[in-house]
Amino acid sequence: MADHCVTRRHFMRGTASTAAALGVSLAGLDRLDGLARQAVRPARSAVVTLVRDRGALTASRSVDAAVLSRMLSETVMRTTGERSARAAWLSLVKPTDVVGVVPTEHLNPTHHELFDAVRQSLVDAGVPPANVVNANGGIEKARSCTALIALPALKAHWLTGIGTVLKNYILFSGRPSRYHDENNAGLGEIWNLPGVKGKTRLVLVDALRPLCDKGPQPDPRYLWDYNGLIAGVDPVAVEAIALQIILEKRRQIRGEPWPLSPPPLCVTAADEVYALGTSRRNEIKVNAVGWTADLLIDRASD
Amino acid sequence: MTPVRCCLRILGVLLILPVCACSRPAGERPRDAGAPAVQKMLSINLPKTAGAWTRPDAPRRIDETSIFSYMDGGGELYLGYRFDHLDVYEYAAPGRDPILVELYWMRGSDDGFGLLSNDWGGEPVVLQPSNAGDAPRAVPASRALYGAGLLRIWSDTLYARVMAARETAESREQVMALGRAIVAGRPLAPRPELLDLLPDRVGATYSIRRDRVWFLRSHLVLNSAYFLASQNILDLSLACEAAIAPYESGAPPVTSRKGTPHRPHLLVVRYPDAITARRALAHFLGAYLPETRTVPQPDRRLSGAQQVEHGWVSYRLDGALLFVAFDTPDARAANLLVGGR
Repeated sequence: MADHCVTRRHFMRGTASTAAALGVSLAGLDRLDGLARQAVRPARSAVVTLVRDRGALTASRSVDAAVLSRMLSETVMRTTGERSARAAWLSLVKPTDVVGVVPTEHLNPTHHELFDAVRQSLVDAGVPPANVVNANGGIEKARSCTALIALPALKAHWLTGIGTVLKNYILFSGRPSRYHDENNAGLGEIWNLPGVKGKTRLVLVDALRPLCDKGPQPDPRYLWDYNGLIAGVDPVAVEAIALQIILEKRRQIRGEPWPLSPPPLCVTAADEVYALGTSRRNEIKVNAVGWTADLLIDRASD
Repeated sequence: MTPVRCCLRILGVLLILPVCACSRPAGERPRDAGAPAVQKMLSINLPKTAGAWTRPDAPRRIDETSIFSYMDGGGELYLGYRFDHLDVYEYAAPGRDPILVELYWMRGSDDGFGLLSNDWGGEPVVLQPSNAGDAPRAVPASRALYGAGLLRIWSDTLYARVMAARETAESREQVMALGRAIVAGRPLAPRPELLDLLPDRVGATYSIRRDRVWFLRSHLVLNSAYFLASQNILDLSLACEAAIAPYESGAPPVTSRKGTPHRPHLLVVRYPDAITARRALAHFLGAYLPETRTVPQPDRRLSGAQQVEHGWVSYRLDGALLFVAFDTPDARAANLLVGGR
């Protein structure tokens, strides 16, 4: 049994995510450490866009659709480097694509206003309305699409540590419970499934009102108005920044480090095992604009 | 069979054999002590109205077969305790956001307590008078906690969540009124006895963080409190009782490779019997401290300490009770925490 067990000792050594994904035993740790030292992972780089607007949520916490629409345009233009929202969307998808937008529905759901704004933007860019679909569901949903837009909300999660970008496609696996607890390290493999791999054109995180504790049900004490959208084309980089925001908020609440437990092993594993992108902060440039209060991101390496 | 597996099996047998002749070792509870509590009050007649809010006539009933449909994988938390069923009411009012009432009926009062212990944060609320015997043991005295519209309540075999979708003065007033209605006439159950085994102070240095004590039975809940292992290497089950608490001192804590500080933690588990406890210790040692098999132990590994990546781990088996300390900075502290010398 212990042969495929990932323990706190792996975690403290910094080999937990790799060990979890590969099923390495504690007895094999030294060998794994040796391999890790030898492994030369190619350098990567990624840009993550963060757009915040203090007016995105009203005093009663309703979404201001006009502000959100402006934020969305700004986000995709900065992510793609295009000068108009239409051009930005068309650099991500073609009018002939069937675009699957994948929101999250549980715990801290994606704001429907954001889903609607993305859908409208795609239609405005020339994608027929019938070709923009909600792709949350089984693998057949992903297979029927030629392009995917991951649209999770920013949140921690009781069984996976963080439940944002990498967990967004968990229903495509057909076996969500397989990725709970420390098995969350394997979440990256879902992004490489046939029918999913290579289809994601944009990762767009709803960070309007994130949830920084794990649930399993939302506790309003841990929701806060961040009023942001986080985006990029590298899912791991976006997740790494999302995780930094969550951890920094938790530190702010308790006045001391408050690690997520179980640890979100999926982020490093998505980088080092599944090669989906970079989780290393020094390889990620955050392009942040707008409201700067309580950004919760270390900007030293940007 | 590989040599490693062979060693572990032999270790397991060695640990189990000596206890076979014993009648009831220390810490073992009577056979019926952990059994489901008598089904005393498994329903509450909630008021039909709470201010402007009105509830439907009947609750939505959730059981262990439907809990995942109700709350996704979060159902694992409640099934990690002895869950009976959940009743859900949604109070609605024109022009106002709803108030959700969730009544989690558990099979023992310890289970209701355990759910509250998952988070001691929030504003303590007194919904009913306490009595003289209401000793708080190693935890905060609160039986109800409120924050940002959510009231969480432990009342005997019941754990309740009353949540206003939008917190206002009016909704807060009704959330509290519903809380009082929920606990009215219900007994003030004692907190789990197991908590008495978590000392307030250890030596001259360490003191317990009362507001971080968890009572639990499942390894998934343990991992939520303190990540130990992806598998159930302590053989926790609904037949076990466990509590874990961090301890503080003025000394610098051990740190992970990334520099995150980790406080010493003491875990105590009461197994159904001493044989089960010995098996669990063997499993734990094989999975977590495989090095110990090479270290001679005169007392057949009933207690010990081992330096690992993050300080020291120590353990002590006392009949059906297993004490394990993690993240301690030195051997002395490790032994002190588990009650050794």
